[in-house]
Amino acid sequence: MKKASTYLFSVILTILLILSMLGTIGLMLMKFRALNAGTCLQLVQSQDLAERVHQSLEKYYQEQENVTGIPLSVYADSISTGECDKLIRLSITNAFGYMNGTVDEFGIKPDFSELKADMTAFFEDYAEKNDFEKDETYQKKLDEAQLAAQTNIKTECDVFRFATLQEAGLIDKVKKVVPYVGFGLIGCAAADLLLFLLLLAVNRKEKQHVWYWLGNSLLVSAILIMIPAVWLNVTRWFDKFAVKTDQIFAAVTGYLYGLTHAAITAAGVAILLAVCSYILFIIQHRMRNARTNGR
Amino acid sequence: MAKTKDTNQEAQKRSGALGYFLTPILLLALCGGLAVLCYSLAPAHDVQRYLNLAFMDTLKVTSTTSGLNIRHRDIKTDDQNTTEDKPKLQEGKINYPTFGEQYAKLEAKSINLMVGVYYGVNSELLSRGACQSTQSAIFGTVGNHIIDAHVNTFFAELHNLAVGDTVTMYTDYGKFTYEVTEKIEFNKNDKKYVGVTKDDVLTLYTCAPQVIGSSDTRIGVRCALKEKEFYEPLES
Repeated sequence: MKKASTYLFSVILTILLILSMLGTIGLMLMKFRALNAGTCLQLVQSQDLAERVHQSLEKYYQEQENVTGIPLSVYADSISTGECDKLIRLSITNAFGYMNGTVDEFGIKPDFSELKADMTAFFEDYAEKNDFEKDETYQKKLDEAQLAAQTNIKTECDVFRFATLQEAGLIDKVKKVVPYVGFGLIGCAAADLLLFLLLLAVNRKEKQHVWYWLGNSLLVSAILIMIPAVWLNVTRWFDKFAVKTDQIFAAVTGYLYGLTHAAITAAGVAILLAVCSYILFIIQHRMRNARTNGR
Repeated sequence: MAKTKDTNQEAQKRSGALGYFLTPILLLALCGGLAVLCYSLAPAHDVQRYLNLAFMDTLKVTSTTSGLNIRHRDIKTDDQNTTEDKPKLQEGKINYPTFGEQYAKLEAKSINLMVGVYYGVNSELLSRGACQSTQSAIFGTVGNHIIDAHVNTFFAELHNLAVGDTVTMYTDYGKFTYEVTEKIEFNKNDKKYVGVTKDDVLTLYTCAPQVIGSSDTRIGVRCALKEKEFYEPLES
């Protein structure tokens, strides 16, 4: 860093490299973590979401028995943990498929034939025992009850609230952005390489300094990512969400904490690479000094 | 001369090392400032709006209420609080309830009903007893005291209450006796019987029994105050 102009150019290029690296890490997190269905599918198991949904539905229909007169046993097969698991996974793969463009239509159409059959059997049995005429009103009540049950089960299994986000227009907005994430990532990686080569050109007389500037870029971008991620984790910021439904709270906070953990890991790797760069710089710097002193 | 040259080289070395140390701090300050600026310009509020929309307490189907504190008062129903010698107080101290508190007991001997009355209505409280709407008057004050319960549980026999039957409300601060004056039936959206009244009335209602599914019709009784008795005098 003997010449002021070299130093100034190096600082400018390093700032640009930091921004470019932030973009690269951010887009990597977005592509491989935030927009990846696998992240949410993993949470289904790790957060025991199917069991939580099952318990919530069971409690709901137990309470509803007082209002509708339909016992929990009618819904038992359709709200089993296995069925809930299937529906949760279906809603996740559909939403991510829609956002990634592999599925054309948003929303799931699960097979509720078993639920319909169980409810019809109960209604018919009840009508027969109570001499209730199977007229238009009967059919209307049956249809209403079936539709309400299907909607309720579907809503409860949509633990990431994709339907609400779609109604608010967010899913369509994300869908428009998704195709550019890959291009953005390639662009940022190319910019990283280009800026590194430019740093190499600027520091061609003292090539060891390139490692110093690269270390600076990695360290600063890692710190800028790590500080907010660690703060969110340490303060358990996402726990402040006023979500009263257990399974949605577990799903949403699990997803967001997963993202912050991934960000911390990425920043940790960047810090490790920065340390390696600094070590390379020190070794080369000392070797160069030794050669100069030897002459 | 050589000594001066050495000293200069040493000073240069030291300032160089300081430069190496300070540069990353300078870069961090610059880029941190830039990040804060970008954050303030970025549509952070939009993100917050979406988070609010999707996850902030929008699920009204929840079966429990956050912060619900269910408490039970010690309510005597066998007139232990009064003695025949004591004059019956027509005005007295009222212990106002809080949401989720069982502050009264309802007795209707003609249908063999004795049920706890919770202040406030939600599915959790409805599963435990009868519920008094928070928009209605507290017992001891004048107005419409509105109580409902599930037709399949506590108010299963409500339709058997007849005009002239007695309904007694026990609280820990007084006893209020009502007489059934009218049998009522109304649509769930009709506010005729669940509104404010000038007189001291008690409205008990539940869903109309229906063979299958939930009913849109509500049935019940309207009662007029016959007698009241407070246990403690008003504090001066």
